[in-house]
Amino acid sequence: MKMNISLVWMAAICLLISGCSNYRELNELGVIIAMGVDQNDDPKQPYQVTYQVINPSGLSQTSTSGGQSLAVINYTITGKTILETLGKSASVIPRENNTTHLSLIIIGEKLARNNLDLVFDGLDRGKYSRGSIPIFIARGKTAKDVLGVIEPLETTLGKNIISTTQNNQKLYGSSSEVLAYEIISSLLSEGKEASLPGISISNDSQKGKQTENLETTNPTTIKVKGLAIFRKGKLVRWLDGETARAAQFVTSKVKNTPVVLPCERGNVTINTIGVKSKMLTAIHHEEPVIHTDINVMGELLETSCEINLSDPRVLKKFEKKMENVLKKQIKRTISITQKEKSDIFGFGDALSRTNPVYWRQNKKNWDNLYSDAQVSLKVHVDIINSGLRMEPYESK
Amino acid sequence: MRIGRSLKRAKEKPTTDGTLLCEVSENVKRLMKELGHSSDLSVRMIESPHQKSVKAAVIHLDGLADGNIINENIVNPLIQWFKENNQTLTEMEERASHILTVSQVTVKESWQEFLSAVLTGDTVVLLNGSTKAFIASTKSQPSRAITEPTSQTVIRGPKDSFTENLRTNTSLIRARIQNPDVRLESLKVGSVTQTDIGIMYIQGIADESIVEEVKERVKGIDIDGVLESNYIEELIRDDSATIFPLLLNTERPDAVVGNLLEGRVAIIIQGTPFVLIVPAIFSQFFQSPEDYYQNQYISSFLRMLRFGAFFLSMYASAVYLALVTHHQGLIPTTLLVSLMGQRENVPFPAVVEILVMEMAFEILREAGIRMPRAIGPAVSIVGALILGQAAVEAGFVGAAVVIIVAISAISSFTLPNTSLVNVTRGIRFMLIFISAFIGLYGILLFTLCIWLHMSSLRSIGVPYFTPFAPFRLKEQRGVFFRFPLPSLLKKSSRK
Repeated sequence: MKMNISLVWMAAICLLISGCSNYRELNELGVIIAMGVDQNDDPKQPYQVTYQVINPSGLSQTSTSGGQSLAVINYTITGKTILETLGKSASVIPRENNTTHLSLIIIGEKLARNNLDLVFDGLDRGKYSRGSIPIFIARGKTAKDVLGVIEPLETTLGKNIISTTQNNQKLYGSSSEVLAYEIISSLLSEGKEASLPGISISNDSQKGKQTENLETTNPTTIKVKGLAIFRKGKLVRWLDGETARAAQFVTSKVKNTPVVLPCERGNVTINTIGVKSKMLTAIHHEEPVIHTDINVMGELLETSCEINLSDPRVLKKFEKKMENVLKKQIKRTISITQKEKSDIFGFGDALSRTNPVYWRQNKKNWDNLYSDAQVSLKVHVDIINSGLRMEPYESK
Repeated sequence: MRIGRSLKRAKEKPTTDGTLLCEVSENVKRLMKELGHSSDLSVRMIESPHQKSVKAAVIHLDGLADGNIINENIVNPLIQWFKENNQTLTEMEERASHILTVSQVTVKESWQEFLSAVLTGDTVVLLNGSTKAFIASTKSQPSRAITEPTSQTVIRGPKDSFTENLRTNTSLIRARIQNPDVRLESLKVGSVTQTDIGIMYIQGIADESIVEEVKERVKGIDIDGVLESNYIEELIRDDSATIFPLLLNTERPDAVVGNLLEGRVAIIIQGTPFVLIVPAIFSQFFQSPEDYYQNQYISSFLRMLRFGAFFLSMYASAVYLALVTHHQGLIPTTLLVSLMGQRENVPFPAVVEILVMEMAFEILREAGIRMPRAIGPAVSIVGALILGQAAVEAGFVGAAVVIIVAISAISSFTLPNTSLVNVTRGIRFMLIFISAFIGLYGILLFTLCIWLHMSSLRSIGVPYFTPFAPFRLKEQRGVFFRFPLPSLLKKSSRK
């Protein structure tokens, strides 16, 4: 009996002392789902942060109150640090801000060109948000502008950007999602530079920020555009299209992507269905040598030439052709990064594992070493099938 | 609430002892007096046409004894016999048991035995001048027909269930095990009601120490009356404060037989169709007899489903509440957004919302059990419509809360035993309170407490939480799965 009474006491103490410690009703919360960080012109308050807060009544289907309201509301606040702006946001956001659902961070290009180094410290240090938040650069725009677009297809902008990127990564591969902890680790690393996908606004117009955007079939939308490469925490250059995609080949982040090869009177499209790459580094005469081994599997899915695809020699020929095309593209990309002295692939990291002694002596000088390093490439392509047809149909 | 005095104190004069008197009318008079001239006491005096002093009294309690047997096998032969012969008393005493053509005639001389024979429904023949009572067994208690079980139903399997009659119940069990090792021991419990209790087990399979323990405990019960098996359950269980059922109850004869075969002991109580089975362990409450009447894969799936439903029924509301009020970060964003939208117009805190719905369901459920059958449809329409739809539309509660409460209520009904359903109700409310205070942390703490508590329970000396604590890995497979009968049989024969 004494035991029981003491248990009751323990339970009572546990309950009563804690009180309703963290008790928060959902309708008291301002859930921040996206954040845009821009550089402010005022040097005293260098950061201009846009918080995108969910407006539940704009999203819920059950609400019966008439008049459609928007799904999200943006609040822009300036401050000395990012966390300061979060604190200041309490003076404009009527609800207690909650960053646990923060799922997108957009950095303005101006800020990225200036310095990105310690922007993410608050995010990494803070207890109430995750490290797995994708980060984007607003290309040629401010983050505030990008966040201001009213997204017609997806319910929220953040979801739209993320799913567009993932879609792009899956089906084209010119950019891939980069999460906060990845960017932090590459900013931290001496052997790897950061690279971030860019987003921009297509079909830009003033309407994009108004509900009118929902009433047109050709609305202002967000598009994923290019890959930003960094050097020592500063954005130095954009890679676009195939150049950007070639970078993804090296890190094998691309999986399905169409590669177009010329043939006699047209083009052949080969879709890769699996890319495996290996980064190898070696020291040759005290100079680093960069070597990449890329294995690609693909399907021939479209052709506009009359070729006999039932002949394996033809496919072999296209394999060779594709190897050369990819080699050329990748080489170009690597040489661009070498020119910018930005090792976005992490060859330095690879070198630090294979030749730690050399790395320790030369890591300070890695930028220059990288830009002068010899590059060798090996691309191997396997075309495993040519679709459901053998011959292309002939027009009579 | 007791209105009258306790019978023990009221009954100070010891009148029920002694033996029968010679004079039959004196005995009848005394009986009348002791029963307070009850109107259902029937006394038929038969006199010999030859000799006035030769007479017999046929005594029974109207309604408890079978009238036809009394007429044809007792009264009729006695009259014929008196008509035909003119015998002396000793001859009569000797031959009386031959004259009464009933299945069982015993001869007793003590007043107490005579009285109890009358009260249990036997017919007693008293002869004038003899101190012997001829007790003819004519018990015919009013009893309900055997019907389908109402609380533990199956699709495939026996459809009979116990009734309120002890004898019917034992016969249902006996009919299933025709084995000489089946033992039935009878006791009477209840100082006033003298309720018959049968303790049934199979000699050789049942652990003797457990049988002895059960008998000891049942004998040790000191109570005025036993109206239902729960009286016995509460008085013999090991821990009187726990919320968990420590004895299994069932109204299915096949379940009792299955448990007897596993070496358990059944306690059958006159007046209730629920038979107690001891010792019970926690995992038994998840097993339905039907598990063995259908395909093993389906049975295994259903067993696991019941465990899942058990947890869901306890935790669904509490976890929902914890997530919504403490750990919003754990909800997927899309769901959070829709939950937020639902909550926008709800005026009450989430915990009140949940409690209102839970209470509404409890009320509905209680009403469903207590209300007269005829009102049933009306209540279910009002309950389902008003509580389900209108409450949401009126903005009293969010739609998600209705779903959560409904799923936690419905999943509790997958459990084959109602005692366990009541456990989930109790624990559910406690969890809701705790989670409103300290969220998932509290849920975890409380779960730990429950776990510890369960590990400390025993049912007639057997740890309640076997095979988890004490940990017996081999037996654990029988908890979540139903293994095919061949492998089960092989195991038991090896033992």
